[in-house]
Amino acid sequence: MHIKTQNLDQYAVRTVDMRVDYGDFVAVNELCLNVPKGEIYGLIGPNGAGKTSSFKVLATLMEPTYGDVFIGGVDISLHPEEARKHLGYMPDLAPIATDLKVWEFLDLFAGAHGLNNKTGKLRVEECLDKVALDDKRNEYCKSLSRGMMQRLVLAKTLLHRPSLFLLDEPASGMDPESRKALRYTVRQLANEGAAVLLSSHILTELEDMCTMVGMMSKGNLVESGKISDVITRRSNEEKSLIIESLDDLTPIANFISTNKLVGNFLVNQDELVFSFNGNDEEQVQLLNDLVVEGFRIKSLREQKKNIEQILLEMNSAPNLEEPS
Amino acid sequence: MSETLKPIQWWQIWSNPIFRRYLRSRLRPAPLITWIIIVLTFTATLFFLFFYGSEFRLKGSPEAAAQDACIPVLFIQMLILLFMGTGSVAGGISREAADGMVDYQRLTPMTPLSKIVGYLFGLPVREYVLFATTVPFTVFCIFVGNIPLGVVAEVYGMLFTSAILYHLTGCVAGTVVKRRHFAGRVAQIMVIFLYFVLPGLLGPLGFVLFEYLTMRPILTEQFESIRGPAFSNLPSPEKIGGVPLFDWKLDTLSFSLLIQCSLIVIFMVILYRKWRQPTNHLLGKNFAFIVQLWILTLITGNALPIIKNENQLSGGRSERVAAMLVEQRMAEKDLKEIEDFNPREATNVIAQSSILASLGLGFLALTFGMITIITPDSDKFTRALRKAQKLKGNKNTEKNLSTIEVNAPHNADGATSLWHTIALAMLAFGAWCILIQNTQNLIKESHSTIYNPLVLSLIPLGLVPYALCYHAFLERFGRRATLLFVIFAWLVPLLTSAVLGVRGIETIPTLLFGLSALASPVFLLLFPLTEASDNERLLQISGYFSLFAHMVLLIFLWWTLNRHKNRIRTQVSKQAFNS
Repeated sequence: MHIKTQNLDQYAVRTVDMRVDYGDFVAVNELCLNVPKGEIYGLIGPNGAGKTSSFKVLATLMEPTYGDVFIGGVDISLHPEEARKHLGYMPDLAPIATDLKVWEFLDLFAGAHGLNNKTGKLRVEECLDKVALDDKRNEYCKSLSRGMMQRLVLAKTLLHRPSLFLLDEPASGMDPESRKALRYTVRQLANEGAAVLLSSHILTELEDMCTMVGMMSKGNLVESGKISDVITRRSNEEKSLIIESLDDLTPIANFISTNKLVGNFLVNQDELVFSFNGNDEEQVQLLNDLVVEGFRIKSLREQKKNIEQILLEMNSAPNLEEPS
Repeated sequence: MSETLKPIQWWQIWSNPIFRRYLRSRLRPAPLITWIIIVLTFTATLFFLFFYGSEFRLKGSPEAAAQDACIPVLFIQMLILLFMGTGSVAGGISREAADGMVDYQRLTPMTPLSKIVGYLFGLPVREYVLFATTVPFTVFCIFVGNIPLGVVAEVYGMLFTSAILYHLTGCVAGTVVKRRHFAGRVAQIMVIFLYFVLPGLLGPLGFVLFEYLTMRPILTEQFESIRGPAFSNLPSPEKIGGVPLFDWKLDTLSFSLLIQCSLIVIFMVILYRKWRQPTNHLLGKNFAFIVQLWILTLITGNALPIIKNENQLSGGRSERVAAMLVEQRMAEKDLKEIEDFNPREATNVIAQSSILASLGLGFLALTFGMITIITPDSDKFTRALRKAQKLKGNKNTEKNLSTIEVNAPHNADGATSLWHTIALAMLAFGAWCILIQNTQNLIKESHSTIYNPLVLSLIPLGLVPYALCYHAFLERFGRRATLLFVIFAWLVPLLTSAVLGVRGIETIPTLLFGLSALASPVFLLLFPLTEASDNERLLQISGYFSLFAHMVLLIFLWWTLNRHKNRIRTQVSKQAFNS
């Protein structure tokens, strides 16, 4: 059967206005996602943002209510079986078969993916080695720690060498060393040309691992793109400035609060942190005003935002579009 | 990066990874040896108890003793394969689903059939091994007891088809039941109901086929060949002597195999569909029609000889109840006023009518069941429209937004089930019609004064509006609301009628009884009565009112359903246009 594909060369995942409804509740609203091959895309958002529903649709375990989803260029609602060949899915709280030994668990899926005995055995060893579980191959799955189970499921996901990895909270339960190993493995996969779409609540870690990021809130994708672009874009909207002074900070705070470009402020021990909604010229003018007023300013610097701050700000913002 | 891999086919059972997985996990030496010891202990004890008991206590020959020992061994084998095996399958598949392993399996490229075969033979693999350990006892009994190999083949052939059927029941329950932890219980209840309660309950009411889902008919047939002196005091079971099907008589084995294999095919189709997509309906629309046709053919074929032949009613439960009713009426001098009243004939009429009514109710219930299976909810309807739109390839333009064109294919799960509902209802109508037209006591010319022949031939049509009402309600408001509707509109009047009837009130219970769709097979059979008693007249009136009310309700439901669907169509078209 000939299967019509779209943008096969460019995107590993493409969703067009994907929507997921549970009865009257809209879990995911008009999600447009483009993940090129070789990229590590982090999907982040608070609980209930719609990440797991999105992952389930992308994993072909659920049909979207509306919209189109293409995996490796294959439309998943028309050819789910074909799309499945391209993907490796690791769900949140990844389950394992507790009555099997580690190698038996992997052998089951090697066989299920159509690897013959010889290749299957080699691949099982290779994947165990990748996730550093080769010394546990003869142990029962039920005896593994939570982190080890996660690694085992990751090994299962690697078995058939898919071109798209969907990893839902892959690092949960892992110790720092395992997380480091996970980061290495994920980067290696991307270097080999696979696309990795992952979600995590450990945002700083995502920042280290991902090349692209998408932020979800209440079912909407509110930000998406290269991490540096997202940070720049969000930072330009409203800056956080920090003043250090040789004088008491309270009068300074009172003075700057009269400036209409200054938003919330917070006096720490020897720092005054405040949000500033102006451009570089206006920032220079503010500093000038402070000096003219006679305050002994030690430094005025811009605080760099990270993904975590941006996400927290976005979730506290009241003007997010509510799902209809 | 993705590799092109070749998944194994369903017949490659030894290479099936799911089967191999259970070979490993369920045949680990320590628990297996424990189980083998337990089974061998019990089997050997029973075997020697019966063998030596027969040989030394009852002074039977070794041949007769071996025949006696064969039956308890068979009992243990049935226990292992049918009960323990079914428990393992239902428990295993539901545990796999609860653990999320089923989702992993769904994403692998194995064909749905390979997965079904893997689970079907893999999960009860320990039970097959335990069964194998008891086989030497059976072999001894066969050779020493000179049991004909034909008998062995029939009994064990039926044991294996029953085992597969029971295991498939467990698989279906484990796959279909959403609350996974209840799946094992549901499977057990299903097995008990389908294979033990229903045959005894529905057999006397004309649903003979349920009897053949069990091993009982074959064991009854072959009991004489395999019993020695230990069982000689037990009464000889009456030989079934073939199963009546229309004008033919099929032998017990063939009919049992026919019924069991039919159910196996139906269960396989259910599992196949569920493995392909968990949101799929249990049966496709066209296949549901075929299943309904097949079941109705079998039930009608079995019931027709019973209904046609007055002699077949003799001694049955229906006949005894009918005789009681006639006696009661005669005591009330109700029927004595009718000229040429013949109590024997009246008993037959009532007995046949009660079988007809129960069959009518069964057909209606089957139709409701099939409608429930094939009717989509709004969500599914929306998805089907989206898919149809996609397949159509051309997205709507602003110009045709108002004109709704897209429809899902008639056989799609998400398409309206109206046409199939009509077809299913007509099948039920046809089957009931055939039975009514062949009921000797209703169609006798001498009864043309009691029964209006025209109404008699039309009454089965009365089932159709109820089926359509049920469908429209289900498709518009969903399963939960329909369940409430069935309870309050159809079940509560029946229950209230029963309660009031017990209190000795007459008029209101009769009127309430006639309002319920579930009582329709009863009051529809009363419609053709020209000389009805007061109570029957009341039931006729409330029956006519019930039909009228349901038709009005049907018109309203169709109107609201149409509006609802148009709203969804517009939404889908708009969405397609926007994207």
